[in-house]
Amino acid sequence: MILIKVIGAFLAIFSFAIVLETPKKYLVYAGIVGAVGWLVYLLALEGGANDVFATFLSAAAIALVSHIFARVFKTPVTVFLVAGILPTVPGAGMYRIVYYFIQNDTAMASYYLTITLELAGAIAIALFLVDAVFRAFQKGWKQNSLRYQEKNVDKSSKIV
Amino acid sequence: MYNGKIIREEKHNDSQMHRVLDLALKAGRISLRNGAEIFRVEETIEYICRHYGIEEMDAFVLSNGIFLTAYSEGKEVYARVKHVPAGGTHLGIVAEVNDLSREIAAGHVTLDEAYKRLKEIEKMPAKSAVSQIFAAGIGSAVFCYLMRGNVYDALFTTIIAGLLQAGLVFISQYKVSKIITNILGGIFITLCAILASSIPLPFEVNLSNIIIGCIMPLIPGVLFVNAIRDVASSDFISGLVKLLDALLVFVYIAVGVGCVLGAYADLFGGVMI
Repeated sequence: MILIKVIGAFLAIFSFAIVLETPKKYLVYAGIVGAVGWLVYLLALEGGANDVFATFLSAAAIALVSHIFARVFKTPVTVFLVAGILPTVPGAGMYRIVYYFIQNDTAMASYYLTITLELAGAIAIALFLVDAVFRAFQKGWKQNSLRYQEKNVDKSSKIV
Repeated sequence: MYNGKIIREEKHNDSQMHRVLDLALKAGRISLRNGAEIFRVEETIEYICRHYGIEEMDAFVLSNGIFLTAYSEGKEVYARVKHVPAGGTHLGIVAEVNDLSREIAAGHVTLDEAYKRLKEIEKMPAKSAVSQIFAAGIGSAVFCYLMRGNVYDALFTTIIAGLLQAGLVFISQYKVSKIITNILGGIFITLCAILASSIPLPFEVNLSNIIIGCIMPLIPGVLFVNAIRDVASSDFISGLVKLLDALLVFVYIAVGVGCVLGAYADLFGGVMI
């Protein structure tokens, strides 16, 4: 059952990556990012986590895999992250707020409002954390690579 | 092979400095417009300027504008403010401009080549409308299924989301504001979902599941992710602006969906599935 859902997530993210004009060669990887995210979400729910925490873990996994792919393929993180994060974005929660609001069920509407804000916050914090971790490593690395380039240029110009 | 050092030692005149800065500005504008983060745009501009020998420059990028000034000894000061209105998302272009700026920084591209390649990148075609419509239909249907919809819900979602995407592709040719687009989108999917769920069919079709699936093409994923990443890289102004923008898009969709649901509840006595 989980396998079918994960394959479904792959298919969904693959499709939305097409809509977002992701380059052809990265479509499959964007799909993998989405599948990993959904797998983590389902496993977290199985393991007894609540919806917000499961979403947090899922978003963190999505961000992590996206950053790794971005480093491997030397392409912007956005390419993988934007499509991959879609299943965690609380579209359903937003609909339920409207639905209960229309039915004059203020209690349920505000319940879903809280949940939706919590979900959005969980996604934001997950992205923050992973971003910060990679940024901490990246800074030194990038400066080094720039320095390395300049050294190389100096050498070659001397040889010429 | 063209070499960074040689360009730097060249005594370039004002017009060359202007060409470099124009190139940097153009590269920044194209990537910002198509959904790049603020720090990426600033880095792109800086890489290009530095490599082609502009020592003192400052780029200040907002979510809808680029401010670029440069100064070279004995030369006139270059200053441009470029308004960058929000465009559609094209991650392929973002990736290509990013590649180009890294290649320039590594010294593999001359100024003329860079101009030529940037022109090609800007003209990169969008995916065909048909493939976008199919992709949105299938993607939304699978979402509907993942959010506990059944196969029949997913079937209807495919059709409605496909139609919605067709409308979005059509409307993107004209300058229609986000408010109109998203409210109309919300109204359209809710109307179609009510229609689908009220057709007498031998199997059960759930209104909520169809709407939840069909909302997906409208959701501002790029805005949301970029907002968070901008705040994470301390570009607070742009980050907050984008966050507000994303939030408003959610509200617009909700207004569209809410109008139709409310009218339906009033007309048919509030019995909703």
